[in-house]
Amino acid sequence: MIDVFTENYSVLTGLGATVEDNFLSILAGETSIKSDEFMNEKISVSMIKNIYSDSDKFSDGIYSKLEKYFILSISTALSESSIDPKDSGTVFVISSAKGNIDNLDSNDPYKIGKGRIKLYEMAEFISGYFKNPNRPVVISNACISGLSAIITARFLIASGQYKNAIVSGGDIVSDFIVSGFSAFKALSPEPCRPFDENRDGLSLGEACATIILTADPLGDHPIMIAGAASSNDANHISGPSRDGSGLNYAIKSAMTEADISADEIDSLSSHGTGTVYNDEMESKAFVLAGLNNVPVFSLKGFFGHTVGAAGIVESVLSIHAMKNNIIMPSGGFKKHGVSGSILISEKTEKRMNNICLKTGSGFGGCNAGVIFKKHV
Amino acid sequence: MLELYLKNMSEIFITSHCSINKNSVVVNEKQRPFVGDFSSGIRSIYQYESIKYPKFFKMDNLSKLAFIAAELALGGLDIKKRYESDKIGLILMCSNSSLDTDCRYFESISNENYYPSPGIFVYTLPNLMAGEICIRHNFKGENTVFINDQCDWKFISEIVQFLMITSKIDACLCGWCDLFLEDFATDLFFVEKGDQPAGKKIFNSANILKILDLQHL
Repeated sequence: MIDVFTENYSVLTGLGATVEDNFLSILAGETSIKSDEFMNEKISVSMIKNIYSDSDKFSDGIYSKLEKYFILSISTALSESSIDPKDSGTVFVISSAKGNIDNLDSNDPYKIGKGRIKLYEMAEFISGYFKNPNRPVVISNACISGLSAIITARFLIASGQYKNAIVSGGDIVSDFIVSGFSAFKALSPEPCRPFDENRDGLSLGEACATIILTADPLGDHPIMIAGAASSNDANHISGPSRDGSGLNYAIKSAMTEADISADEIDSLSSHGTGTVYNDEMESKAFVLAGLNNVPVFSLKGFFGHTVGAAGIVESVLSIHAMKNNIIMPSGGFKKHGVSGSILISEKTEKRMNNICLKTGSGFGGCNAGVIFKKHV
Repeated sequence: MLELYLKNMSEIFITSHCSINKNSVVVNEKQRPFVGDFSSGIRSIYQYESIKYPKFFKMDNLSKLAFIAAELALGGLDIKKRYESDKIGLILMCSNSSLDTDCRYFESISNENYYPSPGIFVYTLPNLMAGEICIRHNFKGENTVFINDQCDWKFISEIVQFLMITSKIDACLCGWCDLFLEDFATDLFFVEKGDQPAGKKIFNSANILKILDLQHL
């Protein structure tokens, strides 16, 4: 099996258009989530600020809003990368829960010929923009889509099919998704507070992030994907399992593959949506996996739940924190409010961060765990 | 890696399969016609097979198609007794994602009678069909839904082999399941690691395509 490493990356959220902007805001405890209203209901969302002026090259109506974000995110990640997107040894892996769904025609939604509403068409358009000669690999796995994309890209390189993968995930906040989560009574009127005792729902956020994976890393301390796995609760289509056993399967499988024990993990970048049941389930899974003493944080309090992008956005920032030997704080957290006895990261800490576990869970009962390990 | 690959490839074999499209329902060698439009046709398979699973009627059409194909492919295999639940994987691929339900949901929020239903919204994700199969058959292992413009058996067989080589799973239900309005098709295969039993084919894209070609003759 060929080892797979992370190379360059980028992040675009409501907090900013660079990794550094996002990272510094997180360390300072800032949030881009703002109160809003939707159909007379108070909600909270994080939107990407308009980063394109009318005079730029994207103003001709060819690109959808999400496609612009993908192109900007991928271009930024490639700008300081040694990897050539036109190389036949490079594959694009794209994740999104809803893609260009905002392009559905309200007069005739069943006429889907226009607007690259089909996810594969959108992905092919994006990889085509970068003149990649291969067929893109596309994943839509609810809220773990981003982690599924990283897991899949790692398989494509580890099995020797490709040398490099450009892994990008994105989703925007549209009426389609806000109305649905609102119908589920899952939205918080205030910025979300994962793991806090007063948490009352999630905040949706839009984001796009890219991470380049490669078999040939540069530099002295490359970060390797040491373990990666997914699992299913086999319990309920929309509610998380009560005992956290499903997520524990994914974590254990990733840890076995990475050949590390729970006490070797330096940081745990959780899913942490801020809903009562999700955070409760996660706390139980972390206890089952023996992760009681590992500092846990959720980044959703800073820029919201970014759905199909979340796994990549949060992995990129967690890897950036590893490089800087920093443990990030958990956004919106004040007082411990889950039954599992876990250690929630309350403030930025400067200390060794060589191994990070990233987890995710989503509708359909899916879970994922990925272990990033620094070569030291 | 390649050696390990080739060595292990021969140890995965096809146990059973099910294909459903607007013309026919095929379970291993047995074939019968698919009668009626999607809704009535899929319901009559449910009744004909005497399936007792009331949740079926709450599913969206894509999940109904996946559920019935899994039911027929796995019928009588008794896999719950033979495998640990976290050692069974599910790898699916489709083209239209959840677009069929997306359009239905979109209609419900775009007219004057704004009424978003959580029961419909939850199915606006393609991996809900995977979730439904996992719940029914207690699959807790690796699961991913890929989107492609056509079924890529080479990709599916390679990822399943990789999951087995890396010891994540011992068995897997995998294949294509796609639906938009009355345009639907599924080909699901149940494959297992181990010694090749008599009469079973080795799991690779060439053998899959041979099986699928034969039923279209």
